[in-house]
Amino acid sequence: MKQITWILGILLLVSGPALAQSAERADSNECAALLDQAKVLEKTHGGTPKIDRALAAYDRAFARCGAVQDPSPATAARVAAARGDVLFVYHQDRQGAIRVLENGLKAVTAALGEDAAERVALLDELSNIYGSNASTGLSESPGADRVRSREMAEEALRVRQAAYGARSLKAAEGWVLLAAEEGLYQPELAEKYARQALEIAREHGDGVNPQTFHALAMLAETLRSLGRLSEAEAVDEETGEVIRELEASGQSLDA
Amino acid sequence: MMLRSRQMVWGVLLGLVVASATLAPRAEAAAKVYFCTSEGGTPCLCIDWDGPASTYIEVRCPSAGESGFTTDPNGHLPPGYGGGGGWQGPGGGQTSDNPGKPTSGELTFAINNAKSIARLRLKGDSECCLAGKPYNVPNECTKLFVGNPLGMLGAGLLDNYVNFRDGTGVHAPDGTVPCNSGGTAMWTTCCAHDPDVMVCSSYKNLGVNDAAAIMIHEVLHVAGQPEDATPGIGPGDFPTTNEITQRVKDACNL
Repeated sequence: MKQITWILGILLLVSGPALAQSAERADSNECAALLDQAKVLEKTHGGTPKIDRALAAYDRAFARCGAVQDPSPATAARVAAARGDVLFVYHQDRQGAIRVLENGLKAVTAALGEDAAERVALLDELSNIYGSNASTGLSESPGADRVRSREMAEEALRVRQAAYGARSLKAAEGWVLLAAEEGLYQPELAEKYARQALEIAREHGDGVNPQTFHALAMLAETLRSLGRLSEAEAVDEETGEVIRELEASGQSLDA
Repeated sequence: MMLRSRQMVWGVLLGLVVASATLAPRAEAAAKVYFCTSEGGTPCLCIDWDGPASTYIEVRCPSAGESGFTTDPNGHLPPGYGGGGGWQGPGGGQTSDNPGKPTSGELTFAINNAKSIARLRLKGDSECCLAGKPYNVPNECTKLFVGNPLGMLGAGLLDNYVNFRDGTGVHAPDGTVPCNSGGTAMWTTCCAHDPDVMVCSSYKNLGVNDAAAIMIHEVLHVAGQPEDATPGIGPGDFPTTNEITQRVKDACNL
């Protein structure tokens, strides 16, 4: 009897951390699934009174995610990105959003390093809020926010390149977002970035992918803002072709 | 509608007779009249309209279903085309008073993507080919804008008239700040043809097809499409916001 107790004790000692880890994984998976559900509802019901359903789904996800014991850095980063976005978009709480996102960024950088792909969503969101502060004049220092926004977008591109490869579709996405960031201030630079994105995106799947579409859409608008209308119309034609091919192949137009 | 230019010697004479009978009121804009055939092989009459404000090809077939016009690159309506009811506004266009601020980052990204899809749908169905080039034939999506007081098609309004502005903190005429409501992604006023369309930060989180549908919805308001904002149903009510979006989704395959 004593021997059995000893064996059980040793077994528990050995399996305890593993069990705890698998419980964390199960909880994190549930948290991620709830965040995914909320995102789908948001994409579908955004801009309609039914957005309340998506916001309720986010609340449920945040409650579940908050109950995860010792969440992995990846889970924590994902939750911070979603929380920051909801605070910014639906609660008009820019400062609260920045706090959540910057804390999340510090934590994930400390845990996973500067090149961790998990940093991308947080950097994108921060760039977005600082950029909006700068362009809408909602901050006391729009100039400083503009610089921060640009730095965050550049860092997000660098991380995408480090984590996924300099010629990856993720890198192309980073170039398009940097072009969107720059379009308002330096359209010539935005054109250069959009063309860079397009060149990379065309290397994948014969150019039939959402990133090619996004790069073309960015390029067309940039050319319009530069007054080069006939070039923009030629790009529109190509964009139309890519959209038709994406739809024909059943691919999503969203990245 | 597939068209093959097939001018025939006997046809030139007949074409001139038909043209003189049908085109006299707008002869100043007609550049070329010729016989062509529809995709089903039906003989039709094609007219190249090349006026100071627009350039498009009008196709007249015995069956109305096969008739139509290609879209003008600048989005102008052919003269005399349209006349659908339900529009409001003085026409003539307005200048922007530029409330709101320019958009940046992900909002710009989302607007550009939606604009590309909206433009493609609004231009109509692409057909091959006239003079070796594909051309667009109006579809249900194009026709959403027929008869509006501004006299421009949706694609033309999108590219040459409407401004998309960051609507953060911008007040609507009723004093509210629509972007503070989670249920608004884009808004504009109706129906004085104000070219400014306000974009809320939630717009960036929409799926691209939904974003395009909401964009076309707002451009319809710019053109003069009123909306029933009051609860309850009454005779002669304008469509509700959801009905307009659904109509756009159905017509534009979004």
